Formats: sequence, C-alpha cells, structure tokens
Amino acid sequence: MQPRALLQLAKRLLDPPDPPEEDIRCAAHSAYYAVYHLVCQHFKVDPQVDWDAANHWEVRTRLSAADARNLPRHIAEAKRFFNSLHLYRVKADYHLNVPFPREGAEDAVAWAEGVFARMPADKKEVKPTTPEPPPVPGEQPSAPARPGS
Amino acid sequence: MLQGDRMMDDMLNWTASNRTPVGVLSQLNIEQYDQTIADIKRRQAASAAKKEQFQKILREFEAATERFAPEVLKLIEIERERLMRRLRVVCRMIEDGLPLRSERPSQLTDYLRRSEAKTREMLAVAGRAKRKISSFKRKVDAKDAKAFLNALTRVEQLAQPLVEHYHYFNEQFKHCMNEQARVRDDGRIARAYKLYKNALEQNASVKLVGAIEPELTDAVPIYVLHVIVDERYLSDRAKIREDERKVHAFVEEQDSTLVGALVLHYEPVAGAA
Repeated sequence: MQPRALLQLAKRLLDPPDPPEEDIRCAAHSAYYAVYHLVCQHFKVDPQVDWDAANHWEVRTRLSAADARNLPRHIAEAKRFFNSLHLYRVKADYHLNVPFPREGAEDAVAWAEGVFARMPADKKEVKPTTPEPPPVPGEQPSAPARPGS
Repeated sequence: MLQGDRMMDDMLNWTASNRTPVGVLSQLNIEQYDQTIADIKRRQAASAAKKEQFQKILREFEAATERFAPEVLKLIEIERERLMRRLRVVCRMIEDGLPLRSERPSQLTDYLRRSEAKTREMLAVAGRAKRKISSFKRKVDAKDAKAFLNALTRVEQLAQPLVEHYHYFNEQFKHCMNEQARVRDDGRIARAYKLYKNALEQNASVKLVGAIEPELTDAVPIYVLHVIVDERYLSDRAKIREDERKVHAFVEEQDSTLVGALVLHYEPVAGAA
C-alpha cells in the first residue's frame, strides 16, 4: 500500500456533510500517517524493520534539522507542517475527552494534500524494502500463475 | 499550568510516595537489624539463647529481603525510564532556548541527592552488620552466620546500583540546570519565535503574538505558538491556511532550517468567543 492511499482515506472520511467525530479523528490520523510514510521513504527508513530510525520523534528530529533548501519540494512542504500534523494526530488519537473539531481534520488533510501535490510528476512512490517472509515449514509453495490468467 | 510543570509534578508526586526504589529498600529497616545484631553480640546470655535469637532475626531478614528485592529491581527500571524521559525533555528545551522556568527541577535534584545519601547510608550499615557477625560467628551457628552474611551481601548488591542510579541522575540534572543558567537567546526555538513573530505581525488580523508552550507528546517537545486573532478571521480556515503559507515562506527565506519549528495555534481575542 502506498502513503497516498492514506490521504485518500482521510478525504473519504470527511466527504459526508456531517461525519461523526470518530471519522474526523481518523481523518486527522490518516493524513498524518500519509505524510509520515512519505517522509520515511525519503529518508530511506522502514518502520517495519528499523524502528530506531523510523520512530516518530527520530523522523521529526531529522526533518526539523534538515535545510529546506536542500530538500525536494514535497519534503520541504512536509517540513513546514509535520509538527502540526503530528500534534493533531496525537490529539485525535489520545485526547478523547477533548472534542476534536472538523476544522482540525480539514487542516490536516489540506496540509497533507499540499505535500502530495508537490511531488514531482515522474516520482513513483517507493515500495517498501522489507523482503518477503520465508514460507512456513511444511506448507506447499503456491504454483506460479499461468501467463494470461 | 504549563505541560512542562505538569510533567515534573508527575515525577515529584512519584518521589513523594513510598513506592520508589529507595522508599521500598528503606522498609527493610536494616539499621534495626544492625542494632539487634549488636545487642546479641553484647549480651552475656548463654550461647543457646544467642543462637536462638540470631536464628529468629535471620528468618525475618531473609523473608524481608526476598519480599523487597524483586520490587526494588523493578522500581529502579521504572524510575530510570521516567527520569531519563524528563531529562531528555528538559535538556532539549534548554538547548532550544526555552528552559523550564520553575523550581521543580531543583526539587527533583533535592530528591536525588537525599536518596543517594540514604542509599549510601544503607550500604554502610550493611557493611557494619557484616563485620559484627564475622566477629562473633563462633558463638552462633556457623550455617546461620553464613546465611546472614549472604543476605546482607544481597542487600549490598541492591543498594550499590541504586547509589549509582541516583548519583548519575543527580549529576545529569545538575549539569542541565547549570546549562539553564546560561540562557540561550540563540537557541533554535528562540530564533524561530523571532522570525514567526515578525511574519505574523505583518497580518492585520493578528492582534497579538503570544507565548510559546511546549506540548510533550514524546521525547521531543512540539512548540506551539499562540496567535491571538479577530474572531471573524478564525471562521475563514482557507484564508488562515493561505496566510500561514506566506508566514512559512517568509521564515524559510530568512532561515530555511527553522521553517516548521513552531505550530501555530489561533485563538480569538479574549471575551470574543
């Protein structure tokens, strides 16, 4: 799955005229993760295998320390809003006793859209580098698909 | 109350309870055993009576050590994790030019200093008790004397790392506080504040650029800048985002490493909401 799909999810959740609060919170959560994974790809860190390098505060610290002039446009845009996205995601996910307004999720989605909109047209989102897991002992390997099937 | 103070208050509440490593180890009341051993040694009673009394306190002491030892070890880990987290945040805020301005850090160093002293005292008492036992072990059962010496060694093995734990954090927090005394106007967040304030004040809808408050979501604080605006401006989110873009562009032009350092939080003028 690619990070952009998380942004599309966030937009779908805010599509109805009056989404419930849980959808609003999930939209803010999803918008953050869309950008977080994009930034991880830029830094070539995989949260699945290298949490020391890919945890949220490491990624934030690294992005904060970077010089925007030396970053691709979309990552420089991410640098502008990453702390805001992270804070909104924390409030959406953990501060359940404090109402989370729709405007907050809309801001988060707008910021994330700005990031993805600045990706170069020819840039393909990178597939995760995690290798395929080995087969479970005793299981038959599945037959290769026939051409044209 | 600021989040930084709340974070430190949580720690100070922990230190005020008895459920700290030094609090639990103190419940072993090793001074009392040291005193009882001295009494047994001094008494002119017959060997049998001495042996019986010695056995009795040995059983009590072994049971107490068995009860407290795992808890002390667990509490050292918990306390270390909490202190480390706070140390990282406090030092980071000082480095960023936004030090925690309260008396709480010095209250914490008081706790660390007293705990180190208390644990050193327990170590000294355990050593003293061992010497007493060694000097009259022929008058009590040899097996019991050895068991008591082993139990006291076990207490020393708990107390020694605890001394090092308190000493380490005391030194680290003291160092941090010394750094705070040399307040840095050139800290990253202090510089970002000046640039963002400058940019925001060019917007007629901004009435006041307020203070920065750290949000402590994890080991790296997020710094939120409170911006007081017209109430009507607050209802136009698209305009706010458009203007915010200009603010970030301004900051990026002045110092491209500082853009995004602050989160802008808009509030209406007081009384307008």
